[in-house]
Amino acid sequence: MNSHPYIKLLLTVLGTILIQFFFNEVLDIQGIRPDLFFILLIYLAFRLSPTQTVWAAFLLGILQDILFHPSVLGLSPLIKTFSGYILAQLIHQSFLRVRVFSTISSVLLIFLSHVVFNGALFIEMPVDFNYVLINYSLPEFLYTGGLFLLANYFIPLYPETE
Amino acid sequence: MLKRIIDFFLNRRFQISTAFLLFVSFIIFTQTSHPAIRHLEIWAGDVLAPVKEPVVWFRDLMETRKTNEILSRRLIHLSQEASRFASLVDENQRLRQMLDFKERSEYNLLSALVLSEGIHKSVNSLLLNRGEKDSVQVNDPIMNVDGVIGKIFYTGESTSLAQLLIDPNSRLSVRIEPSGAKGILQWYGGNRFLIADIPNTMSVQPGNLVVTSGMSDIYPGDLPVGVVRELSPAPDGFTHIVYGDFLVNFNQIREVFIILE
Repeated sequence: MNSHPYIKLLLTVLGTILIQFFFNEVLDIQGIRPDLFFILLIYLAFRLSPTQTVWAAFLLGILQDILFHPSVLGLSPLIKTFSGYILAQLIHQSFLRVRVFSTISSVLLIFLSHVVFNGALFIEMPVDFNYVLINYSLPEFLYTGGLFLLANYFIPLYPETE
Repeated sequence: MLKRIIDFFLNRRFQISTAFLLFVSFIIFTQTSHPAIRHLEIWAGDVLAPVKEPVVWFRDLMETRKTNEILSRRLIHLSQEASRFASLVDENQRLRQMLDFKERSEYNLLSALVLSEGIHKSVNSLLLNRGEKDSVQVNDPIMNVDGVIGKIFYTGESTSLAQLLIDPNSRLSVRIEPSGAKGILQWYGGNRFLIADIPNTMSVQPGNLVVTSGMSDIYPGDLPVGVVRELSPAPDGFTHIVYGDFLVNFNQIREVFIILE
């Protein structure tokens, strides 16, 4: 097996983690930060086997919580593992071979992951769902989704089309 | 037989891996307050602190951190005094009491850098670069120049985790000036808070200052917390729900002060 794609993949993973870790404040817009780990997960899902994808999703989630959300350790791996499973299933069904479907599905997953993450945190708060959606989930989704679309414009989701 | 079992697991490794990882994640998430999980979190903080600290240090150096710190210390005492004086305009007796309080309120402030914030702004804890070796203890209050931020809820050797007031589980005993109405403050999303069960007989107006009541074992009194924005009648007809805004901008906390015991 050619090891070149894996080295490239490893460097991409390390680069993304370092950017999120060291430049988190730089990426901040009015308190909103993008979830680069999720964008990375989407790209990994198109390059790894289904089993590798869910393990990568779990490890990325654990790392993300340890680095950024230690008080809710476990929530990110839960959401990311499930997202990785969905992505792997869709890719395996060849449904996402059409670029427009793959992009729409990925954006939808980004949206759902933010809704679930914030929903889980606010579940016992005296605030309604719309407030959480408008003030937290939607801005975070727009930022992460926007960056994903930008990346998608330059870097194809499928490695063979690179 | 064994081959069949192995084949079964190999053929279903994707589903089995997913189920296993979801189960592990769920267990970790539901056991966040377990000492082993807390230990893992703070261990990770201790390990990462030396990596992150130079970056944070350089960032703060660029923002003239030292000057800011000196000015911040002064401003904290000034804002504390301002909140005291706001409640002392009417009675000389109370003024003497507050001056007496001033004698007692020369807090031992320890500055700390924020090493890590969440990606999601709804996660309300901070990793600070001060720990047990700096005499930081659980429940030490933290604040900045604007007001109260939260408290320490877990300490490691060289780092500590702080719980912010904008945490869903956070509560704070407060007093509204100048009426003296007391209540329990609770986060209400964004930079907002609510205080329930304020009697109708208390004269509370928008713009009134909210300070710590001093009735808590954790927070000293008269630390500025927020400003009343509006009042809403409670369903019981006898009380009001007070809504307000925190003085601290929780989106831009880079350096805090820990009030050491």
